[in-house]
Amino acid sequence: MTNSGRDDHRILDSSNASGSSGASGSSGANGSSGARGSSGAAELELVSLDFEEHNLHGLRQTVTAHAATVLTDDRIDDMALIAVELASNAIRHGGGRGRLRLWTTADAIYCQVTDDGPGFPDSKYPAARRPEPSASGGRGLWLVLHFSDAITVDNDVDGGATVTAMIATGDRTSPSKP
Amino acid sequence: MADASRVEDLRPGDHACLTFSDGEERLDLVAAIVRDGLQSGQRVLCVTDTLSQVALTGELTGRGVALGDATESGQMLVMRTAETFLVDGSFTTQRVVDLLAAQISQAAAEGFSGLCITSDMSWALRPVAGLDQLMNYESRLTDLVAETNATAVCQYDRQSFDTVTLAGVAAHHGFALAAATYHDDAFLRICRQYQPPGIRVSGEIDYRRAEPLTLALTEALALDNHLYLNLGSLDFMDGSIAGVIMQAAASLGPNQRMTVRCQAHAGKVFHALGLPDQSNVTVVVSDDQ
Repeated sequence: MTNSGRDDHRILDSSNASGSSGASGSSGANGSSGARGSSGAAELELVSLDFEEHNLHGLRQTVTAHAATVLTDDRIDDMALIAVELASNAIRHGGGRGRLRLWTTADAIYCQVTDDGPGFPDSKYPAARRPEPSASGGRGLWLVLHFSDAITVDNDVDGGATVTAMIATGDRTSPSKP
Repeated sequence: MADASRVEDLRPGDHACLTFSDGEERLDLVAAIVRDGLQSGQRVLCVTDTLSQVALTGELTGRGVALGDATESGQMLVMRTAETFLVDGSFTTQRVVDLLAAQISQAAAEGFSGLCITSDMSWALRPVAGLDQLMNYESRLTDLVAETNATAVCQYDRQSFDTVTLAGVAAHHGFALAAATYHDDAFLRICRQYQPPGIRVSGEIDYRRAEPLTLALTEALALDNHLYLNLGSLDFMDGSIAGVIMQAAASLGPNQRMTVRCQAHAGKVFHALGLPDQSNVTVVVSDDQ
C-alpha cells in the first residue's frame, strides 16, 4: 500500500463518468485517499490471489461473494465486472497473468490488479472517452471507469502496472448502520 | 444426433426426435413447429406433460404464434399426458398408436391437410408401468406416420434422459431435430432461437467466446429483418461481448431491427454504452427466465 517503487501515479475521480452508478455523492473519494485507500483508515483484506486466464470464472465468483458483504445487489455486479475487466486486461495485455487484491475500508471497497506487462503509456488510464458503437474494442476499461467511483493507475519502475478501482459503500462504521 | 436438422426441413411422413437443453429452448422449437403446422393447413396436436394446457397456450402465444382462431376452429388441439400416453397411469404402445391413428383419420375427415403431432416425452422420465415398450412405440410411430403422411415430433430433454435411452430413442426416429448450436459447454450455450427468430445465449460469456457469438449474430442478421437476441438466461457478459453486440447493432440495415432481452446488469451495461440510443434497437430488461 505504500508508494515506494512506483515512479508515477495518477488519480482519476470517475464520478463524472459514472452517471448511473448511484453511489456518487457519498463522499467515498475524498481527495487525499483516491482509489488507493491510503488514508490510514483500518483496512480489511478480503482476497489476494494470483490468476491466469483459466481462473477468470472462479475470480468473478470470489469477488462477487466478498463484494456481497458490503455492497447492494446492483453494485455487487458492478464490482464483479470491474474485477473481470481488470483481470482480463492483465491477461490479454499485461503478460498473461496477474494478482488481484480486494479490501475494504470504513467507507469503500477496493479492487486492485497488478501485472507484469508493459504498463500504461504515460501512466494514463486509457479509456476516458466512451467508445463509439462501431468501435472494435476499448469498452472493458471504459466500463471499469464508468462503474467505479475512483481509479488509480501506477506503473512500476521495474515494469508492470497496478490499477486500483474503488466503489464507495457509505460509512459502514456509523451507528445507524450496524 | 450431431447433424440435426432444422424445423423448416420437417415434411409430412417424418418422425422426428427433438432434443433440447432447457425449457425455453424446447418452447421456442415447439412454437416454430406449431406455427409451421398451422400455416400449412394441418391440424396440430400438442401433448403436454409438465405444463398445463393453459400455460402451454400462453407460452406459444407469448412467442408470437397466434392461436386464438386455431383453437376456436379446432385446428389446434392440446392434450395432456394423462389423456394420451398415461391413461390409467400406465403406458401401452397399442393404445397410444390406436389413439393417434384415430386422430390422424379424424383430421383428414375434418378437412385438414394432415396431422402434426408433437409430444413432450418427459413422462418417460418417471417410473411408469409399461415404459419398457418405449422403443417399440417409437418404432411403430415411424411406420404410422410414414403410412398416413402425418408428422410426429417427440421432445426429449437431453439433460434429463440418460445417454443409453437417448441413443436408443434417436435410432427409432428418422429425423433428428435440435436448435442450431454455435457453442455448447458447461458454462455457455449459444443457439439459434426459432420463434421469435434470433439467437439465444445462456450461462456466462466473456471475450474468449466472442467468435461463436459473432458468427451466430452474422448468420441471424443475414436471415432475419427483426433479430431477437435473447440474453434472459445469461448471467454474466463482459465488455468485449457487449462490444460484439454493439457492433452487430451498428451494422443493422435500414430495414432491420434488433430487440435485446437481458437481465438487469447487462441492461445497465448496454445503457452505459449507448445501445438503446441506436436507432432500430430496443433493449428489454427482464430478470425472469
